[in-house]
Amino acid sequence: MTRYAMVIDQRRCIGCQSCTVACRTWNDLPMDIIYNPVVSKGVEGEWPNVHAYYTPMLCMHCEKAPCVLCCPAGASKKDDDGIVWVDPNKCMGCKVCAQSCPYGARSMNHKEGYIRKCTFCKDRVREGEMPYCVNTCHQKARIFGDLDDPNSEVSKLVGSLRTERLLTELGTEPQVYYIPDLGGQG
Amino acid sequence: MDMNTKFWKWPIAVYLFLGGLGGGTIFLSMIFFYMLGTPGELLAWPVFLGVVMLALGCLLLIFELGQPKLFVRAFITKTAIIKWGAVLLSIAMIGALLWWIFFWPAQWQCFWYEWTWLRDFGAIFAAVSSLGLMIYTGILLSSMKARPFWNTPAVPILFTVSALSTGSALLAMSLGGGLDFLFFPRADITFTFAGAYGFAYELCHTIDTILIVAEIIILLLFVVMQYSSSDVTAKAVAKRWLAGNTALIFWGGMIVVGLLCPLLCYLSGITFLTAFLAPVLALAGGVLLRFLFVYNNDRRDIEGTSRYFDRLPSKDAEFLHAAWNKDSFGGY
Repeated sequence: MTRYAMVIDQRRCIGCQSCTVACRTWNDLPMDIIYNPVVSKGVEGEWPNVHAYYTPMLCMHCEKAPCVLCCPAGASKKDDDGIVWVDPNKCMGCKVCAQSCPYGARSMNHKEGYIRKCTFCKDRVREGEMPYCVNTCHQKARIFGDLDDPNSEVSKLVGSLRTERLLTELGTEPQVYYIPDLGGQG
Repeated sequence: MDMNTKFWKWPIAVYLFLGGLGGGTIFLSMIFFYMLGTPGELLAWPVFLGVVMLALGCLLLIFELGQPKLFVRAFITKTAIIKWGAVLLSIAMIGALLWWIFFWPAQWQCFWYEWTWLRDFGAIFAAVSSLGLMIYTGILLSSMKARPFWNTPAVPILFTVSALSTGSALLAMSLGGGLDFLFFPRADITFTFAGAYGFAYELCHTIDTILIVAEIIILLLFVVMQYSSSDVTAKAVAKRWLAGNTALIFWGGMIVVGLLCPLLCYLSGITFLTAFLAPVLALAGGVLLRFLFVYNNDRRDIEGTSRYFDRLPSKDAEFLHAAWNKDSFGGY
């Protein structure tokens, strides 16, 4: 069965924010919503050995998504391929999912009155294309694919390198894997 | 990500307060009626006010929705805590109203007057669901793993004690039509049931006094425990409450005005203080407690995210929107 996941190679990310801009363009986001900010840590160390880290954030499309469980209206859905999305026709805008998401991946569309979030560009993915942020990343820091396919790049990377996921202690089983900036060796 | 991480605003804080207040009033009224033998005529007005509080809470909840016309969808998903809140709220209101219609003035009584089973049936549902409602207001917040300051079993306990405290304050004020002077005179009731009225009234004050002491202990223990928490976010919020930006509201507003003052008023024995000021301050403390919690909803820390959002200019979206509307871009 298909299980979509993303690997983000922090060794390659230079914090250019192209993915942020591309995402906003493709999804036609209002000014106060960002699906995938690139947050930074550092600068650390002492000159000349200084270093900054970049962590591109997005919806983690958790295996056990708290936002889906807590949605009273049945508007937050998780498809069989692992993509978590919101049906705007069913979302009553109670914002409980936005409160319950540990990754801050949900935003209120105040104009329309419903919640918006990253969908792994499911409209593109289901037509065989890559999410727009993956296509845009010139550093090839974002890798997307089917984790259940042993021949996919994401599957090979997750299987062979040391990867990390965010806030795993909460039991949400996020489907975005990070190859740490100073690490990632098998 | 939303640049504004405070998703819930004042309507939710007031809703949590009204849900607890209505639940507490109805629950205590049912206990007084069935276990202490307080005449229903004395409790009719408090129960009605409890239902009004719940109805106002419902309206605020609907008002807060992004798409209020879809509010019936709140009942869809069985795993959602909000669904159970909506169910409890509905049952508590219907059950309490079923009980209440038996204590209308005699000239309003109709065919149901003899059906005491219906009154007891409504009362059972009202009592159980109002107890659930008080606990639910705390569970709604404590179930959120994303918010470490809320995500502790102490929150439902604190909210339940506070709900019972505010409930007994409202019960004492409205017992036998205590707010008669505002609405319609029913002084005859307090006169007819003078003995029972006096007993129930004093008991309400005793219950509230005990609950306020309990609330002070639980609240202080909760904040101190959160301050010593290993979670940096919970610790930061507790620090803010104890000695930071929120310290004045917490110590001055919550602890002194909302808890210690009503406690001292109750203990003073002076009629004006015990009958009016103490319950009013207890209710104000209940509101403030919900505001403090709802507005301190810090998300679990992921390194770098706070810095990212702190660096965004405030009112960025509004500024750009206004600026773009002035020229050829024509807005977004």
